[in-house]
Amino acid sequence: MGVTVDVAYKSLNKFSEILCGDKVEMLQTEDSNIMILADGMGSGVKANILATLTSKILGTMFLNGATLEECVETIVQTLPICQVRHVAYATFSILQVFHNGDAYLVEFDNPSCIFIRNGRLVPIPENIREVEGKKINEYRFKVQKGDALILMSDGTIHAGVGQLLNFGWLWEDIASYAVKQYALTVSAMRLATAICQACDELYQYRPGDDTTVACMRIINSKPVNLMTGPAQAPEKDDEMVGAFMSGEDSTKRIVCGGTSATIVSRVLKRKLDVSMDYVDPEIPPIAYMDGIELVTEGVLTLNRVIQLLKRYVKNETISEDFFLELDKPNGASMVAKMLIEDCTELHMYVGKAINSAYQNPGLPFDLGIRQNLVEQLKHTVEEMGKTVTVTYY
Amino acid sequence: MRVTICIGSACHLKGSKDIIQKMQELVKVHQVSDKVDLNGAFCSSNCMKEGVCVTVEDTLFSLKPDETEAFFEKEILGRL
Repeated sequence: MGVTVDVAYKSLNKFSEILCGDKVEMLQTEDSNIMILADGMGSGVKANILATLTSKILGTMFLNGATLEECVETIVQTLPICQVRHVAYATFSILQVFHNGDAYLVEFDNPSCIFIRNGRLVPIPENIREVEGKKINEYRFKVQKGDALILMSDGTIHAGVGQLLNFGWLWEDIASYAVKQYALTVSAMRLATAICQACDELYQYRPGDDTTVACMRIINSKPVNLMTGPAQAPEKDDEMVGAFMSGEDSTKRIVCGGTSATIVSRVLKRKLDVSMDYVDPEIPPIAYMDGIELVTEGVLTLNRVIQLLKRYVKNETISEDFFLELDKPNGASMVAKMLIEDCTELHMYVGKAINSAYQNPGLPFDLGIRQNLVEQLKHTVEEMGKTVTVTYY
Repeated sequence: MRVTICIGSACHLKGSKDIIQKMQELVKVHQVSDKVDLNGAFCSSNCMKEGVCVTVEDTLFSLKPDETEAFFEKEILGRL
């Protein structure tokens, strides 16, 4: 049984800066998930470039199996040197969790990772190694279900310094706040957002430094199967529906498409109940079928789903408003919510049949774009750090 | 009497929402809610027609939103 992770991060920019000087990279290899947080020296453009270079170099090299020494050496030799301070500098944390449960944490000069297990803080032992003159802490351990690991930039511990708090928000206090929030939240995004929000309040909404919280939670895998579009060859219907209905007991299922839903209903001999409830004037009503969590219209709904997911991935605009939008009972919000909060891997079953009615140039919307939408959906969900497979029929 | 209105993608774009709204009003106004059973339906593969696919007792019609009232009088009230 492999380990599954839910990863998310949230950043605040230093007050009046357009760019963030912290950068988070979330990557997947065949057998692991990697989360990297880099904090570039200074703020604004310069910090952003330093952090982006650092996180990208680390990510790309780790992905290709380079050793820590090689990575650090490359960073030291590559980063441009600051003209004010005459050093090339970005701090970083790397967390790699393998599907077999092995975990590897590397920290250089960032506030230490907050590690929560069974609702309690687990101290991370000191094990310092010097690489290229930099003191780097390494920790190898095993994760188990329920664990939460939080990486932070130093904007968090500086929150409120000299204003509301004499010495900023102490690591110990952030950690105990995180433990409290750990019990109150389910997703990595809500945990990261809660801590970031507290920092913003301590900064009185004018952050004195770029502030980033990146969170990884070890969770049960939550597969979602999504079927959209009729198969190109109708005799493949049974095979397609069979694949769509396969999977573990915990698998949730979504059908996006009226014709697809009709096919599933026919193959499984289950009744399809179409509602007439127009919750949102632009999104056709949903339908109900036993054993299928969600049945919606196809391309119009998917188009909106992608808009919502792109907003989520872009991250800067995530606020309480966004979650309110997600809570709405229209088909698109319901699909997006399931993909964001209740899904670790997405399996799509996509029919390539062309609906001749959609070739009607009189329609105000190009309906013949299903495969394009599927591609966009795949990329967006992958950017959210989840695994996606697509099978065409 | 069972009346179904298609809410599939193509019909949606041709105005299913307005037709459903109008029909629901008309059913109320004429007080025939015990006789007329309005339902949504997904695509019946007749989208090539110009209007929204509406079936009355399994007879297929193609309806534009602005014809709803006349249609209701003739095909629904007329058959009761």
